[in-house]
Amino acid sequence: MEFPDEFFKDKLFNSEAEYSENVSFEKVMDRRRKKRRFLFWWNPKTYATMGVLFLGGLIAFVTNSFNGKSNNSDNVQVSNVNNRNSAPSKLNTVKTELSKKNSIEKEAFATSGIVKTDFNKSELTFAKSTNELKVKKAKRIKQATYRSVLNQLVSEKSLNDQSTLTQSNITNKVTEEPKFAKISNWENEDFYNLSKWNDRLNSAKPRQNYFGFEGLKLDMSDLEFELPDFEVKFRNNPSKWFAELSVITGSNNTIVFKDDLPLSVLGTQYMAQYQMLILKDFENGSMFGAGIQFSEWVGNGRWQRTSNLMVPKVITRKVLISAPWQPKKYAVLSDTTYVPTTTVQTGVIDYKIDKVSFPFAYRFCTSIGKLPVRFGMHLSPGYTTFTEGVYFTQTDFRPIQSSSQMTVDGRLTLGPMFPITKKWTFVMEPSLIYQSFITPDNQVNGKFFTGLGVAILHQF
Amino acid sequence: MTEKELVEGCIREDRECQRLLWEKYSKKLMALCLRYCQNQEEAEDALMEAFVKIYDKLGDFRFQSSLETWMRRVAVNISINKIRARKNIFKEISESEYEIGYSDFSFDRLNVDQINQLIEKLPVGYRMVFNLYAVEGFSHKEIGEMLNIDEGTSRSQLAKSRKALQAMLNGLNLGRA
Repeated sequence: MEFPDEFFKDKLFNSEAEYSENVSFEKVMDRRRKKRRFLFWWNPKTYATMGVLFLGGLIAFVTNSFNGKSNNSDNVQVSNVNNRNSAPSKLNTVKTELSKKNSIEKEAFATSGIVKTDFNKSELTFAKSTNELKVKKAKRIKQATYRSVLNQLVSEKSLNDQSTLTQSNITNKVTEEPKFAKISNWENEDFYNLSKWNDRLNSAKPRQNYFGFEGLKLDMSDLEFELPDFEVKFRNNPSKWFAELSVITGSNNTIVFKDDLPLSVLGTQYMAQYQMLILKDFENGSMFGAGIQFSEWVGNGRWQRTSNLMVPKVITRKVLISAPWQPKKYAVLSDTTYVPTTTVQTGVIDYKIDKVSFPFAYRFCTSIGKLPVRFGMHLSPGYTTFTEGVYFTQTDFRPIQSSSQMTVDGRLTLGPMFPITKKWTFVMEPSLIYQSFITPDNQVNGKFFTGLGVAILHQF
Repeated sequence: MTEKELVEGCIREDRECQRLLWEKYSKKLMALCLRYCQNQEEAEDALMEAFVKIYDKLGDFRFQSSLETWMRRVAVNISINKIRARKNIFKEISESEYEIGYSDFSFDRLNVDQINQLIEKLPVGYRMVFNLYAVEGFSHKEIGEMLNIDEGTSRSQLAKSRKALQAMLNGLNLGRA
């Protein structure tokens, strides 16, 4: 007899089953609406496009920043420079003395063919003659001469690239004629005293933060005229904004595979996170920021289900019945016994979860000895964009619903920073990562991963 | 309301038609999903996913078969996709687990629920092939295409599932005799 027969086929075909209160027409329509609403977000091409646009924007922003900064930061910043302390009489005295002692200037003036310069006015104005440009040029030559000597001193103090920058800065600065005309520092004798500059440089304090050298603070209070101190800076105004791109991977093993357990799982899980952040430096070593993150989370392994069953076993025996005056007969005796049988079922199990999150990040930069290190943590809520397979824990596994589910991730990192240039920093990040997704019935499925990440940090 | 009017109403996004479709077929499809899926939760998820797809794709329905057959096919495909993700569908079960001698069991003694319970106890691969062939009426060729297996595998899975079912039935029969 074949099972099922037509009767049962019809019965089974037309059978109905009740569903729980979790299922309803409204929920189906709600799921459909969400699916339509997030169709844009569910498309992987959307993420690729967004990523390209974001990177393009970032590159454009960085490029503009470089161009903008190069115009500004190449200039030596002179703080509070004005001529309020340069009283006309005193200034004239200085100029007179300078004109007597400084043969270089005399030569310069001689070669310029200047007829007359007016130093008697309250403000430094030069005669409007056709030779005015020649005078300025001569002063520039002299200025550059002294500045180059100064730069040699700087380079001798192993300031390397900064010294080069200083030189170029100063050269650029010379073109700002009116400002230097007001400062008139080349007209002060002490300014040309190299030994004093040596002392100043020796006592100068380097300005440095955890991202590298920023400049020297020169004390110029010993100069005769009361020119305010100014700082040699290599960036006009260091930006407090940073962009960070990081990649991190981690793993987690689930090894509970014993025969005496009804259900056991042996599996390995891996995760990778790709993160882009915009951070703001709050100048006390702390940074806060936010961004976008794409995570991949996969797991694979084996499950084993052990069950002890009492399996019915029928033992049949053929018995010969031999009675007097009767023909021989055979009888079949059946004896049913229940045999304890251990059944072990095994199978392969795996799952994959992709998600997009929006991390809120905190970073704290400090140093251990001379090694700059960074502590970081972030919390990133998000949504799954792709789920497939069966999620497993140490003693259980269940299918993951295909609908989008909320996720919450966390991460703690501590690792060294390696400044590459003044604006780019490389960070290694040993990490502890928490990944989770929350099912519609508010069940949290989470795992901790240990891993290693790398990050590149750019200061705008 | 005829079947065609119902479909056209659903295509027009008429809420009442959509609700009518749900009320008419949801329990049948739930029974179908339950026969394929591993548990109630998975079956309910498959049911909702199936209806989302049905509402979205009703425009593609060409009335070449009955609406119910088309909807069942959608639900079967979604259930199969869910099971396929588990990758352990066609695990070979040792035949010794169902060691049994004979059978003269009368199926009339069982009701549909009991039969369903027995089917649920089958391993996933057996259950799928059994449901597709014996209940839904697909051929081995169609089953092979749906499950991406060859016809021979489908036949052997069906034979094993029948044997396993008979073993379970005989176990029940012995208990009653």
